[in-house]
Amino acid sequence: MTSRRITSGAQNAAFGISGALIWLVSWQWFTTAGPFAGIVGFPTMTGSVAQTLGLIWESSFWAAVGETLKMAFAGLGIAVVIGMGIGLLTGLSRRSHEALDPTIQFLRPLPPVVILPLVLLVLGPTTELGVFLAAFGAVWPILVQVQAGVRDVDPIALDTAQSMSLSWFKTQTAVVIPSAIPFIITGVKIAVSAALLLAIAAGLLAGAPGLGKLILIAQEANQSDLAFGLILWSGVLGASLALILAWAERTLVRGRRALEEYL
Amino acid sequence: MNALRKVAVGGFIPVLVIAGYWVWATMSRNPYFPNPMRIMERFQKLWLFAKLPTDVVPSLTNFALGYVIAVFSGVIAGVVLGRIKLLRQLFAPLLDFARSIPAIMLIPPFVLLLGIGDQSKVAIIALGAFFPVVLATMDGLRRTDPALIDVTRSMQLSRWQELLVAWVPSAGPQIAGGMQTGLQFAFILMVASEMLAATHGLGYLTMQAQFTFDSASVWAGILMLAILGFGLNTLFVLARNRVLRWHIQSRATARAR
Amino acid sequence: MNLTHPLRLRIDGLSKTYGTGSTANEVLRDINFDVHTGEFVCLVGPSGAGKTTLLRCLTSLMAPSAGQVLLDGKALTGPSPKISIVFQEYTRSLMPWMTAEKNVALALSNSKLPRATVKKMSRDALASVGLSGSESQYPWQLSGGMQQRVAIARALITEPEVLVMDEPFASIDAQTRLELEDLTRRLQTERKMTVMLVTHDIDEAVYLADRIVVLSKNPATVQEIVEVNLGVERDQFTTRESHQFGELRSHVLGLIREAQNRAKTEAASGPQ
Repeated sequence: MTSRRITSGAQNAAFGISGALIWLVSWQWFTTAGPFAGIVGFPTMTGSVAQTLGLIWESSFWAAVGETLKMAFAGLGIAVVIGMGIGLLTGLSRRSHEALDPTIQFLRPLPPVVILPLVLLVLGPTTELGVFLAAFGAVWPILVQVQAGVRDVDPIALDTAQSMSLSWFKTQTAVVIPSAIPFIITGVKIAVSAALLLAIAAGLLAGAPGLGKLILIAQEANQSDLAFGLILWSGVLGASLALILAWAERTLVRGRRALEEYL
Repeated sequence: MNALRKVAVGGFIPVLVIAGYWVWATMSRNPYFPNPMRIMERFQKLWLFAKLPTDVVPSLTNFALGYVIAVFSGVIAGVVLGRIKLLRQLFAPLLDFARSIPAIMLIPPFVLLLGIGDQSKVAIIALGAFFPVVLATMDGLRRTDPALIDVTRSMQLSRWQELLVAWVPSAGPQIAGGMQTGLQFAFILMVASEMLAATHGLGYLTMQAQFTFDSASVWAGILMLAILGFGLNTLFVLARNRVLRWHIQSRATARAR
Repeated sequence: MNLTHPLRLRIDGLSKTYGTGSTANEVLRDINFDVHTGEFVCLVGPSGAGKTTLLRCLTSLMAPSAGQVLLDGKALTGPSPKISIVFQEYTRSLMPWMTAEKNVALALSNSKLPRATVKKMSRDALASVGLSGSESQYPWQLSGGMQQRVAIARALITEPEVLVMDEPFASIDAQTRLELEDLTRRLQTERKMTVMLVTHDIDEAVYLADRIVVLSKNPATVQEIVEVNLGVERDQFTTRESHQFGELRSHVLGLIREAQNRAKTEAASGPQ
C-alpha cells in the first residue's frame, strides 16, 4: 500500500518537474533564438537564473529581506492583537456585532493599495508605512476567522460548561478559545501572506525599505534580470513562510489532539 | 421597527467617526487631514466631471479590457487543463507556484517590457485576474456530477457538446467565484500599476497629488477609488445572481426539503 | 407471446468483474436472457445484487468483462440511439440550468431538425407525460414526480425502440409512484416499445412486467425468469387484488429470499 503511494507521489513530482522544465527551456528559446530574442526588457532564462543565484552573495539583499520580514511581522503582530480583540468581541457579544459589523463590512473590501497614497503622505516612505499597510491588510482575515471560530463553538460543550457553573472567563478560556484555534490558525496563515505581500508592495509602490524597494530600483535602472530575480526570491520567501506555517499548524493540532486524549 | 433599530445601531459608529473626524480636522488644521467639506469640494471638482474622460475612463477601459481577456483565456485554459489529464499533470504545479507570486510584483517586468503606457496595464491586469479564473474553472470541472455525463453519453452527444452542455455550465458557480476574485485582483492591479508607472489614470493622479502634498486631492482620489471598487463588485454580484439563479434557487430548495 | 414477437434484445453471457487478483470482485456472471419486441421485462434481485452494473453494461455505459448485448442481432458497441435511459436519481439527471423543455430537447441535439420543430416535439413529449404548462419551469421548481416525468419525456422524444429504466420510481413517494407506473405502461402500449425496468419493489415488478428476470447475488446470475400472465389491461385496484398477483408475488419474493440467504451463507463461509 505505502509503496503504491510513494510511486504515485514520485510520478506527480516527475510530471510537475517536467512541466517546469518545459517552461524554462521554452523561455530560454523564446528569448535567445525565438521571437523575443534581443528585445530590451525581456530577460533570458539563464540571465535571470544567474542573477537570482548571484543575489545570495549580496549582503544588501539579505538586509532588504530582513527589513521586509520585520515590517511584515510587526504589521502581523498588530493585526493579530486588533483582529483577535475585535473578533472575540463581535463573536461573543451580539450587541457589539450589530454595532461594529456594518463598519467592518465597509472597510474590509477596501484594498490597502487604495489608501497607500494617504498613508505615504502622512508617514513618508518609511518602515512605519510598511507596518501600517501590512497591519491593515492582515487584520481582516484574522478578524473574520476569529469571529467564525467563536461562533462555531459546539453548543453541547457550552451547555456542559454552564452545567458545571464555570465563570464566564473560565468558559471562554477553557471552551471557546480552544475550539476556535483551528480557525485562528487559518486566519493567521492567510494574514501572513497578506502581510508579506503588503510589506513588499509598500516598498515597490511607495519606496518603503526592503525587497520592494530593491525591485523598484531595479526597474528604474532598467535591470530586468535583477527585477525578475528579486521577484522570484519574493515568491520563494512567501512559499517558505507558508510551509513553516503549515508545519506549525500540524504540530499545534497534533499537540492539541494528544492533549485532549491525555485529558 | 426592527430594521430601523438595526440601521441606528449599525450606523452609530460610522456617524460618530465621521462627525468626530470633522470636528477634529477642522480644529487641528493638520494639512494631511482636511475638513470633509473641502474633500467633497475637491471630489466634485476632480471627478464630476473634469478628470472623468482624461483619467477615469482610460483607467476603467484598461481594467475592462484586461479583465475580459483574463476571463476568456482563464476559462479556456481551465477547460483545456481540466479535461486533458496530461497537460494538467505537467502544468498544474507550475500554475500553483505562479499563483503564489502576487501579481503586484510582476508590474515592474511588464513595465520594463511594454513601457508605461496602457499596454502594460492591460497586460498586468489580465495576468493577475487570469489565475483565479483558471484555477476556479479547473476546480469546477472536477466537481461535475458523473450522473450528468451518464446522461450525455446515453444521448450519444459528442465530446464537444458534452463540454458545452454539461461540464462548463455545471462549473458555473465555481467559475463565478474565480471571476469575482479576479475582479478584485484586476481592480487592485489597475490602481497599483498606475501608481508605479503611468502617465494618467485614477491611481496616477492620486499618487501625484501625494507627491505635491495636495491632501484634499489624495482623499478625493481614495474616495473615488473606494466608490468605484464597491460599485464594480456590486454590479458583478447582481449579474452573477441573475445568471446563476438556477444554482441559488436549487440550493435553497434543497435546503428547504 | 414470445413466439409471435421477434427478438429485440439478446443478453449473451454478460459478465463483469471489478479489479484483478486477490481484490477481484465478480459482480455479474454469465447473464443470459432474451427480450422480445413490445415486451415489458422487469429485473429484480436482492439489494446490492449489481442491478445497476447490469444496466450500465446493457446500455453500453460500461464495458462488460465478457459477453455482449445484441440489439436486433447486432452487437452493441456504445450507447445506441434506439435505446433511451431513465435514471433513478432524477435531480441529478436533469440539467439544473435548463428549463423542462430545453432538458427534453437536449435528446435531439444531434437530430439536425429545425429549432421550431424540436421545440414543438419537446412540448408534445411533455404533454404526453402530463406536464403541459410546465415547459418553462426549471427542475428546482418541479416536484420529484414531475422531474421524473421530464426525464421520461426526454427519453421518449427520440422515439426509442427500447426504454431502459433504472429503479426510476424508487425515490418517489408511494402515491405518485402508482401514477407513474400506470403512465409507463400506457406509454409502452401506445408506442409499442420494449421496456426493461430494474426495480427492488416486487409488487411493482409483478404489476408492470410481462416477464420478470430474478437475479441472484454475489455474483449476480439469472436465477429464474418468471412469466407474468396478468393480461394486458391492468389497473392498480383490481390487478393487485387478484389471486394470481399474490401467487406471483410470493413466488418472486421466495426466490429473492433464497438468493439473499445463499449470498449470506457464502459470505460467512469465507471468500473462495
